[in-house]
Amino acid sequence: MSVASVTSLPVKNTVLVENMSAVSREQRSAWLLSLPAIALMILFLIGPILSVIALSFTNWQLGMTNINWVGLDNYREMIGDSTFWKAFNNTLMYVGIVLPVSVIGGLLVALLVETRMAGKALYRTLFFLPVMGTLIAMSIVWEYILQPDFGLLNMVLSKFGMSGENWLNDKDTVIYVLAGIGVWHQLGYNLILFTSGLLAIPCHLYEAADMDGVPHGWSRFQLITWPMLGPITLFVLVITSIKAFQVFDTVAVLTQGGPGKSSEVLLHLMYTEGFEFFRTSYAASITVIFLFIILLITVIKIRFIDKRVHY
Amino acid sequence: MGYDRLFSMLRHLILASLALIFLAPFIWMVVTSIKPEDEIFLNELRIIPERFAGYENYRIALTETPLLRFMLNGLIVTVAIFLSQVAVAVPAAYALAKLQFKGKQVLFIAILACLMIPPQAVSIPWYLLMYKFGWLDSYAGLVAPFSISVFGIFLMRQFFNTVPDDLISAARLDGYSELGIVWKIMVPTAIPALISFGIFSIVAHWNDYFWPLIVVNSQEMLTPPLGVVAFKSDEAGDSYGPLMAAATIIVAPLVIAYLLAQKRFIEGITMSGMK
Amino acid sequence: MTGIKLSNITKSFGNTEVLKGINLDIKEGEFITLIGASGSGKSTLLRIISGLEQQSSGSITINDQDISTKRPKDRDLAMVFQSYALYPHLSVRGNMEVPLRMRAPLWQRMPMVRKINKKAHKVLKHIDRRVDDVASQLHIEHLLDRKPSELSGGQCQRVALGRAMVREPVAFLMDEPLSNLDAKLRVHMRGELTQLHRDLGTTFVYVTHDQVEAMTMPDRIALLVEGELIQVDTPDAMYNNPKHLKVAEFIGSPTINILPVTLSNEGRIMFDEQRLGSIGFGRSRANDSISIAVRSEDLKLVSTGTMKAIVTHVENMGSEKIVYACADWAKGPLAIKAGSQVTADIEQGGPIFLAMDIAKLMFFDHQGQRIVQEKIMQGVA
Repeated sequence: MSVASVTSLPVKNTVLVENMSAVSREQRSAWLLSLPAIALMILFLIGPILSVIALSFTNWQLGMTNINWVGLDNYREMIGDSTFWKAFNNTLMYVGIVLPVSVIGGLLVALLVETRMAGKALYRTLFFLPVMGTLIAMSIVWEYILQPDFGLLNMVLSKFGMSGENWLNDKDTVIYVLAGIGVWHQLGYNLILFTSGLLAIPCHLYEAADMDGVPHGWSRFQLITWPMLGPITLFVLVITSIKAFQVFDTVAVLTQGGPGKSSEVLLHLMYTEGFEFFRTSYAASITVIFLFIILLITVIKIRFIDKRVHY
Repeated sequence: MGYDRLFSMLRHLILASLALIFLAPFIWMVVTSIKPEDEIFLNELRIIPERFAGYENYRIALTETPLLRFMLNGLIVTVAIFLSQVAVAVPAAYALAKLQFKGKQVLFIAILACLMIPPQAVSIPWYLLMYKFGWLDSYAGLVAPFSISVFGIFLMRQFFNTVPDDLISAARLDGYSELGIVWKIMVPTAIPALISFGIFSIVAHWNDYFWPLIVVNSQEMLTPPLGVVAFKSDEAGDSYGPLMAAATIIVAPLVIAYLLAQKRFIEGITMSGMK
Repeated sequence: MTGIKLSNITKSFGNTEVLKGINLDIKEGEFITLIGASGSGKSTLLRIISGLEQQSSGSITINDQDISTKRPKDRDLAMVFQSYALYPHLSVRGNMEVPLRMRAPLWQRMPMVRKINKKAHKVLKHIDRRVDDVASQLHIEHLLDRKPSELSGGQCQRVALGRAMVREPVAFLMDEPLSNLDAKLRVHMRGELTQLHRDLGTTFVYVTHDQVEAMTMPDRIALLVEGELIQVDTPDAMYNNPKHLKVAEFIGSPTINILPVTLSNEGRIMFDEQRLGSIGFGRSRANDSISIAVRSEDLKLVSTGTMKAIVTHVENMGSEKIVYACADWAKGPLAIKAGSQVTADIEQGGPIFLAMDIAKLMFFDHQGQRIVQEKIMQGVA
């Protein structure tokens, strides 16, 4: 017996050593496999995000050889800059329209599409089409539709005896028109998300409601559909607001922020400051504000979803 | 039953008229692309043109500007972006999902943090980097910043998590190297997820305007969205027929692909909802 | 007549006929199980009774009232689902209240009304009390404020039962309610359900594919095979006196042993050179194939004989052993229940010899119909 235990000892040790080398081999290959990703992440994401924040505290401009820390100067300038506030307010306005209209609209249309079999697939296809159309190209189409003299919209309006407007050149309407295009672009996306949420509701719940005598319509929506859509609604709200805050394409093509900055938005302002006037550090500080808003929305999402995930 | 019929009809009425509004820009775009100029400036609503001018409009769109070149640029850029994203993301995703290593947690948290970074927020440093590398106004400049997709890593990791460990153990016993496991075992099982991701990535970058606008200058490097804007400002200030023809050509590939493979496209596009 | 009466119920989905004319009388207060393999139509039948599915033809009456086209909520039935179907965002109390609250007028259900309106207050108080009663009956009082996600499978099951019970329906419909529970809990809940049925005295219609559930709980079993009711009987009768070969095969574990034989010219059933009996109608049925079915406990191990089989494996159940063997004279593997002493010297691959208790044999004709005992004249052994 004792002989056996003596001989088994070294065997055990080699197993241990082999195990350890297997573990370190796994470590090595794991790092090797993630190395390209890590390197590129540092080069293109982590490094840049830190340098944008750092830049916003300097006075550096493209082409300058020396760089000075100026503390909060850029932010001070921003607070005093009426264009920034216009852009900020316009962006909020844009989000304030696109978010509720495309989310509630998406939900209502999804409910309406899913209540009956007929034409279900066709409607889904059609409403999703704007999501697929290249927004830049479609913006050019919109510009043509909104053209005051021979644009489709005004022609249709005049058919109904209404007089159209110069939609994109009117300080008072331009942001609503842009928001309208935003809704057009986003609603189908939300519709599809809501549809997938609706399809994921177990049909046994509706059958249980049938047995329990829950009337059709509102009671049923309130008892089952709405609570079950809770998590997906949060997703939709967050994604829509992030997308809406990133509005750029339509503004760049249709208005360039005009007329008179009445359609200026954060990203477009950052673009013009950074890449047209080359006021790099000032653009960086606008970027930081933009980033802060996006992070805020994401944090809200994470908090809420962690809470909601329990059921 | 009467109520039911009424509701059905009302439903179709509402949905069909909404759908018409949603489709109007597409319809109007295609209709205008085959209209002669004099009918475009007509101050009356005419849907079907009296004279078919599609041939000349599309000819102008394709010859006055190198529209096909823009399309080719778009294809090269989107495919290159997708392939490099896969090459970078898949091995990392495998390591995160299936291997044990020190720092795994930190790496994953870093990826989750990077998920929140909108690409516009890092465009200034990207521009400076591309300038340093001498990649402004080149394919490299269009592709390189997007070669890392943290979303791709996250997505593939989630997918690889569902692959049973036994499959990997079996592959190791069969003598596969780790890299061999990634490309010969994991990737084939992940084809559906890769297709969805591919659609997501290609659609996003075909339609992207912000970054190409910053990094590209010369005519021969323009991507489709830049191309159609350039066409509008250079050639066709007011010639809406050819302009709509150009827009149609640029919108068509994705729309047609979507109509042919709807389910896959919807899966791919809505995938960002999973974040 | 009281109870639930199904007459000529058929159901087709497209071209597939799922139910082929079901006639079934369920007596008031009876516990009946609908059993069948998956795809036999048992769940569809239950859903037709509930009104969740509409039959293609046929009628249903409850206590002589025709409810064939009534909506589910107007049938006064309660259903317990396999997946429990609890409303995930409502507390246990909230879930159990739903069937009662939904019967109160809408305005009484409004959040603040309770405080200002006496009648609403009374109604809601009554609901509260009813829920408390049922909860204590099911021993879930302590769970009333929890959400379904905080409950175990067994607790969810009780809540689902509770939600069905609060309304005091005419009958409970249960669609495989125990199949999501683990084995031990299932045994326990079987006992509880039987007890509950005894306490409530209400009709239970219980769908299952598990023959142990089907055998242990009910007053009667209804066996469905491919959309047809083959036999409706007490568990004892189903086991001891199956009317069809399919019943004999379905009920009982291990599966009944089938020995195929051919009728001789004289109508004799010959097996193993023994005349087991002969069928009264003589020559007309000559060369018919007959199946002899014999339960595993009616096969005896003997030291020698002509019924020889080769042991494939032995299952030790503790109190007894089940010997599985194969032989060319049997259809499929044979199963023999044997006491543990007897099987001591049995080894895998070895030969065994069997004998049958002729009195316990059951005969089925080529269509699977039982040949009734009177028609078989006992032969000379």
